[in-house]
Amino acid sequence: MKDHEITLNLTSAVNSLSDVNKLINELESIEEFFLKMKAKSSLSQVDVPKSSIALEELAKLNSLNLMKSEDREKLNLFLHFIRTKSPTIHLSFGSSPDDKFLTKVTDWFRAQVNPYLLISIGLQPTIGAGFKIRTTNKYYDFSLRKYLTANKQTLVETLGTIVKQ
Amino acid sequence: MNIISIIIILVVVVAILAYFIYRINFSKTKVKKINRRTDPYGQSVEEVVNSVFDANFREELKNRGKLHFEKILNDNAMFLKQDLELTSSEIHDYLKQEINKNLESEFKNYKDTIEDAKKLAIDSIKKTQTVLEDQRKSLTAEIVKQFDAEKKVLINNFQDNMAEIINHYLLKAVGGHINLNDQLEFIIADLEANKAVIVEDINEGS
Repeated sequence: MKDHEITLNLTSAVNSLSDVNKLINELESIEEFFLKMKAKSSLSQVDVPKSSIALEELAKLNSLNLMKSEDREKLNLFLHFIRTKSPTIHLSFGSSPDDKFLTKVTDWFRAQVNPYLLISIGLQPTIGAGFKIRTTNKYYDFSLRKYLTANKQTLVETLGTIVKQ
Repeated sequence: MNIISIIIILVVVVAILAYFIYRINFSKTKVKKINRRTDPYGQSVEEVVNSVFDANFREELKNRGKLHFEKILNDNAMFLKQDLELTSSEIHDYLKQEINKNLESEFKNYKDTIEDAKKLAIDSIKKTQTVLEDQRKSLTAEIVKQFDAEKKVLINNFQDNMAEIINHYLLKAVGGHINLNDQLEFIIADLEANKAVIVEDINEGS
């Protein structure tokens, strides 16, 4: 699959490389199920793999039917493309973000930067508040620590004014 | 009158005395020779002469001469004394003047030398004072500069440490209690503010 052939979209639930890997594994399980199904005489003799909500949402968003081999193939190629070609950024927070927060951040990046962007989340308690971004080439610090350090002179001046009073 | 004149006078006086002594002795010898050579007339004349110029007369003459000589000697001695006194006084004055002159000259030289030495010493002291003053000013300026620099470093260190302590306290006290969802608005605002740079960076990276 080439760049200009990409017609599918990612859901907000799929925001990291591990999510992509999980979906690929799920798809492989489903594929394996259908291969087994061809070898067996009846469906009752094999366990139908349960697809995750993320995979179902992804298929639904892209109007794909996981029961159809060509759709699975299409989705599998798309996920492999995402795994190898998508840009990844690393975000660090002072505490673990919940899904709601992560969805909003992912949506912003997909809407403003790149629709296939993947996010890697890290935890740095020393940040306190705010966040840090690390891309392939650069590093951005939007943490409260950095903000306080950058405004250290203001803090000193303010304290000096208070002491003089 | 100087010493040479006095000496000349003394020589003249001695010469006169020697002349008189010689004449008297010469006269006695001559009379004896004449008495031996002359005839009876001569001997009678001699006897007359001897009777006229007998011992008393000669003694008187001798005494008169002696008195005259003593008078001359006394007069000359007085003059000599006066001259000597005058000469001595003049010599004394002359020596006094010369000594005074030499002393004044020496004192003047000594005074000039002392003045020069004093001037040199004062100049040297002034130069030393100037150098010391310059060094003191330079040292003071350097100390003030070093003190200011040290003070600035200490203040900066104190401010840095104080700010670091406050930051650490704030992060410790507040950081863990701020929910990420509450921060979302600010996070999105930061991302929006730096969107262009992030987009450019990611597109270049990919």
